[in-house]
Amino acid sequence: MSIKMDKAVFSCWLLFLLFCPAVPMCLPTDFMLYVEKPECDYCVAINTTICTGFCFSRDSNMRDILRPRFLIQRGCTYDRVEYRTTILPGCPAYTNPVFTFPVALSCHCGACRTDSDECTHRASTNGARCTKPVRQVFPYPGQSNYMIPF
Amino acid sequence: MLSGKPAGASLLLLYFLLYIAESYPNIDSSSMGCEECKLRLNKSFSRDRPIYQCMGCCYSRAYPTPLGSMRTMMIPKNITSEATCCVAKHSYEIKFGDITLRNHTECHCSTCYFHKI
Repeated sequence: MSIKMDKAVFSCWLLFLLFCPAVPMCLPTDFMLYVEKPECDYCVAINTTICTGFCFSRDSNMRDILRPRFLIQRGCTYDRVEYRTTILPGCPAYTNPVFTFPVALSCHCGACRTDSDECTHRASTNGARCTKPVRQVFPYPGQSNYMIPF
Repeated sequence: MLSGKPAGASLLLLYFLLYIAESYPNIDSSSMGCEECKLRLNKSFSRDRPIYQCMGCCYSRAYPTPLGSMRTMMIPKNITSEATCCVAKHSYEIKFGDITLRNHTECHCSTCYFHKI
């Protein structure tokens, strides 16, 4: 009985190795998002998930003639996304302290959608910088579109 | 003791299969491990002489647009996507029958111009 179980586990491992990539590609990755509003007292650090990794692309020998045909150009971007909401601390009552941010549930190598995404080569600033004291927010696991009290 | 032997065999097979996977050339890496951006022979055009084509994997990422950047946008977008694509850094023109091709000589990860929809 134990030998049969071991064989089953062994077969599962074999299938897993054959059909899963050996090297991680475009995957959800933990990311610290810094949010600072001029009217608020703090810079809030929010732990979220973004998409980073490597995607396959191919240039064309006939680009002068056929333009984008036979070109493969993709970027690592959000596949399934969830929006979560948090309340920024230290903000005056007359301002809107609610901040909504995307959380990547899954990622894929695909085209950049210009209707929803800002498509760039490289951002001008390498991440937001805080000028005020930093306070961290820990979102509740499994929570979506809930108000996360700070 | 009996369960130790299959575990050891599994590890050995794991190393063997990883070695095999890494040595596979010229496979569309979109669903498998990613090879670096470099010159590869274009077999469709390489008859009289070799024609090389740039292909491979480059780094990209998508993340929430910083608040400061969003304020400067004409149309604010919640997500910023930074992408680089494998393109030819240097190439030269070559005739293939009546068609003019570009034979790639050097590759690099640079700006993607045709990845937007």
